[in-house]
Amino acid sequence: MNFSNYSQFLNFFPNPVLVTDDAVKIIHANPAWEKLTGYKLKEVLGKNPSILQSGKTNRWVYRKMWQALSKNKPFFSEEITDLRKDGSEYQIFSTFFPLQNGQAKVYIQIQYDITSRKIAEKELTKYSQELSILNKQLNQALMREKEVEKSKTEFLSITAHELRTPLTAVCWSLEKLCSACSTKNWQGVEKNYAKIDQACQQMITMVDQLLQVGKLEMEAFAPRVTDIDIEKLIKSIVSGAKVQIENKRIKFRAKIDHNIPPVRADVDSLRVVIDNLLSNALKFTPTGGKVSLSVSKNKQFDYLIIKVSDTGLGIPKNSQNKIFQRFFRAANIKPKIEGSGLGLYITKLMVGKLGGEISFQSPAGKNGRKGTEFMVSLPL
Amino acid sequence: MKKILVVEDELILQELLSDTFTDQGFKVLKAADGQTGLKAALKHHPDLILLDILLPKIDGLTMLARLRDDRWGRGVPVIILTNVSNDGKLAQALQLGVYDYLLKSKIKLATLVKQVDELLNL
Repeated sequence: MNFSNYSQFLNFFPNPVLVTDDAVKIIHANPAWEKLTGYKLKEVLGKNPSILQSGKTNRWVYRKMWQALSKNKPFFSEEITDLRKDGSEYQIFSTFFPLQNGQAKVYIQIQYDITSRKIAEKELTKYSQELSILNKQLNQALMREKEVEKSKTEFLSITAHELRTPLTAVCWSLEKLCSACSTKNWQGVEKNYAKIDQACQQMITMVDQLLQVGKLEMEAFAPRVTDIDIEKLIKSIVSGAKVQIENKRIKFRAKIDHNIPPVRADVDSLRVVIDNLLSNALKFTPTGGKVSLSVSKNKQFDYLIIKVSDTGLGIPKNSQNKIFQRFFRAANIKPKIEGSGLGLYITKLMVGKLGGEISFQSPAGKNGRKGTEFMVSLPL
Repeated sequence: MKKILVVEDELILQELLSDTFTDQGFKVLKAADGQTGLKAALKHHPDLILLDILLPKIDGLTMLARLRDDRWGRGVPVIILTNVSNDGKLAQALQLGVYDYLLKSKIKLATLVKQVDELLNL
C-alpha cells in the first residue's frame, strides 16, 4: 500500500492526524486535523510542525519522542499544548508512529483532542477552590454564630442569677416579716420591710438596665432628637441625687458654662449617660469625699464636654481595659457596694449612639493620687 | 452556744441569715468572700458552715476543698447555700462531702432552720 492509500484512509479517520516526512516536513493532515487547528492542509504543506508549538509543552516530551522514533518505536505522548491558526491554545495527547513508506520514512501523529476535558478540569479546580473558600467562610460564620449564642446563654444565666439574689432576699424577708407580725415585733417588721424595699429597688434597677441593654443591642434603639437645655437637664439629674449627696456628706460642685447652645440629642439617652456617671461617682466615693460635674463647650470644635470626677476608689490598672464590658465589676469593689456591672456598658453604648466618645482617667485629680475622672464628648 | 459560719457575699442575704440564726440562739460568724471564710473557719472552728458558691477571691468549692485538707476541717458539716443550679457543681460539692446542697431561691428560712437544728442534734 503506498502512501496515497494511507492518506485516503486517514481522511476518513475521526481523530486529527498529521503526517511528516523523514525531514520533519508536513506532508499530510486530515480534515479532522484541519478542523481542530483551523489550518488548511495546503497552508502547512512542507512546513515543520514546530509552527504549531505554544512553548507550553514540557521540553522532555519532544526529546523522548525523538528518542523513540529514531529507534523506530512508537511514542505515546503526555499532554501537549499547541496553537491554532488564530493563536488560541488546544491540548492533545498524541501517538506517534514511524512508518516505512518504500524507501522513505514517514511519521504519523494521531491526536486525541483533550481541550474540552482540560477546560472542564480547570473549571472543576476553580469550583473546588471556590467551594473550599465558601466552606471556610461558612465555618467562620458558624463559629461566630456559636460565640454569639454562647454569649447570649451566658448573659441569660448571669441575669437569672443576678435577679435570684434580690428575689431570695424578698422571699426570706417576707417570711421574717410574717413571723415578726405574728409576734407583734414591730421593729422586726420595719427592718424586714426595709430589706424588701431595698431588694425591690435593686430588681427594678436591674430590669430597667436589662431593657436598656436589650434595646441598645438589638438596634431597636430609635433616638428622638430634640433641643436640650443642658443646664436644666443637669439640675434635674443633680436634684435626683441630692439625698445620696447629703447622706454621704459629699462636697459636690457643678460647673456649667453659660454660653452653651441647646444640645441636639436624645434627652433620655443623655440623661442616662450623665446620671450613670454621677451615681457611679457618688457610689464609689467615701463619705466626706468630693464629686464634681462640669459641662463646657470645646471652642475649637463644636463639641460638648461633660466631665464627672470623684475622689473615690479609683479603677485598678488591671481592670481598666474591661470596665466597659457587660457585667464587669472592678476587682476593688467591695461586696457591700451594689451594682449589676451594666451601668458603664450601657453608658458606653449610649454615648456611641449619640455620636460621641467616652474616656476616663484613673487615678485623676491635681496630684493624680486617687479618684477617677470620666469625660464624655458629644457633637453639638 | 453553737457557732455557725455564714459565707455569703450578698450582704442583704448574709444579714438575713445571720439575723435568723442569731434569733435561734446561735453565735453567727460572717464572711463575704472565700478567703476570709476559710480563715474564719480555721480560726474559730464553727459547728456548721453555710457556704455560698459564687464568692469573690476564692469561690465556695475551692474554699471547701482547702478546708477538707485541714485535720479539723475534714469533718466540719457544710451546707451549700447557693443560687447556682448546676450538676457539675453539685457533683463536686457531694464529692467534697457536703451535708446538703440547697438553692437559696427554693428554700424557706424555716425549713433551713429545722434542717440545721436536726443536723446539730438540737
